[in-house]
Formats: sequence, structure tokens, C-alpha cells
Amino acid sequence: MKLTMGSLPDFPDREIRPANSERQFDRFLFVSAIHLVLFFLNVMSEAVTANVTVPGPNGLHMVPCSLIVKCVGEFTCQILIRKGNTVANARHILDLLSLGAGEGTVLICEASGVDASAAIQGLVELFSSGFQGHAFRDTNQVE
Amino acid sequence: MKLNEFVVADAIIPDLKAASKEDAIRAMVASLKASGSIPEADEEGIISAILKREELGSTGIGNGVAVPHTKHPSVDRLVATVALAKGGVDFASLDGEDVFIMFLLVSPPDRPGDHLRGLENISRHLRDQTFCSFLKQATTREDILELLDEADHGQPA
Repeated sequence: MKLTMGSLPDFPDREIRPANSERQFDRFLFVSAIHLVLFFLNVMSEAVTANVTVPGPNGLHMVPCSLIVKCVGEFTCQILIRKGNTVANARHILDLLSLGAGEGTVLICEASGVDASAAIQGLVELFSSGFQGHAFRDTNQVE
Repeated sequence: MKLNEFVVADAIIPDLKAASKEDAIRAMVASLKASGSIPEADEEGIISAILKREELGSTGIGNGVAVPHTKHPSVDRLVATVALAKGGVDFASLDGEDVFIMFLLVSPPDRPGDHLRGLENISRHLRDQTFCSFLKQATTREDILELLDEADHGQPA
């Protein structure tokens, strides 16, 4: 059977033209497949953002940056952290350090991908905790 | 804050030979002491503080780069030095690779902003693969100073 969409050309051999109901079913399958693909594309590109404020007097120094890298390592989505026009890949410690984000700086976390929501939630909790309760402590002596 | 504002020219080590992370840190701190940037009496204290920091997590942050650092009351401003180890140093880096470029920082505890800006500046340049590549090829203190100066002035390395 020849599968076609929309108006069919005038077949020389009319016997091979599918019946109307078959053509409608083919069209239904085609449209469904398109919707399915769009659905997965939408899920994959789910973008979630949240604002976070840098805690602690020492700002986003090496210890918090290490914790951020460790946190986002649990997720597969793309995660960016913005300070104004400067963008850092949250998986790269040099990127994060180069933000030079001091105490009180508001950063925008952006994640896109299947686990974007969970990743952003993890980051928000990390910043909210003041990076406490982790392997490192944010003190004056230990940076 | 520019690199030449806190990197001590006389303390730069263009060809560091160190068998371990501790050796490398000791040599860099000794170089800062020899340049008069840190008091001789505090050399061991600074080394201990840096090693203690390393115990909590390596400052070997990958790409052949390490940034050992500490805060210490013996300095009244941020001071730093650069060392290049052509043979590489096992710094227990995050990526498991040897380190070839080291920036060591000592900053006063009451000036966290300077410490952060110093780290920011160093990191911004170390992200640049061209800068790192040229730095690894430098063989003299003058070469390194020239590269730092070009980085400060936004010129390609």
C-alpha cells in the first residue's frame, strides 16, 4: 500500500489508491508520531530558572564552587549560572570562580533537560543552606 | 585587580622540580619568603595552613592547573606566586591528571573580597586554553611576567 498525506495525485492505476478510511488512519498515525516527537523534544528542553543569593562573607570561593560542581554532577541536564552578562557552566569550577560573586550577589541558575527541576532545586537548597552541612565549611581559615 | 598587583615577580618559579604536592607548596612559599613577601617566621605556619586546606579537597582543579591558597594573618595584602613544573606534579587533582601550572595565594583573613577577586582574575585567565598553552611553554621569569602583563591588558597571549 502506498502511504500518502493530503491530496493524492491522480494515480494512473486507480486500483492501488488506498481507501479513504485507510488514508485517514495513516494521517492519524503520522500526526500522532509528530506529537510524540514534539512532546519528547519539549521534555528534553525543559528550562527551569531560579534566583539564588550568595551566602557567607567569603562569597563564591573555591569551596562553594566545588560543592556546586559536586551537586550538579548528580544531574544530566545543562546548567548555567549567570551573574549579569557573565555566564558560567556550573560543571566547571574555573567558570564558577571567574564569576567573582561576593556575598549577597544574586545569581540566576538556569537548567534545561530532563532533570532540570531537580537540579535547580538542589542548587537552591545548597545556596540556602549557606553551603553548610557539607564536607567543607565556609570559614575564614578554610577556603 | 590585575595579576601584576598581587603576583610577586621575584617569587615566580619558571622551572619547578617537585616530587610531590607538598614539595611544590613548600618551594612556592619559600620563594615568597625569599622575595620578602611573607615573614620568615611564618613560613611553616603558612605551609601548614595550605596543606590543611588541601586535605579538605585538592585545589588541583583540572586541566593541569592548581591554585593552592590560604588566609593568614601574617600578610596585610594578597600576595601570590606562579610556578611551572614541566615534569608535572601529582596534586591529587579532580581529573586525576598531573599539574603543570600553579598559582599560590596567601591573603589576609580580614579581606575576603581581595581573595575572591584574586581567584576570579586567575580563573578567568586559566579558562583560556591559549593562555595556559603559552604559559606552559614559558621558560623564564621574564616570559611569565610578559604573559601575565599581556593577560592584564587583555591582549592575546
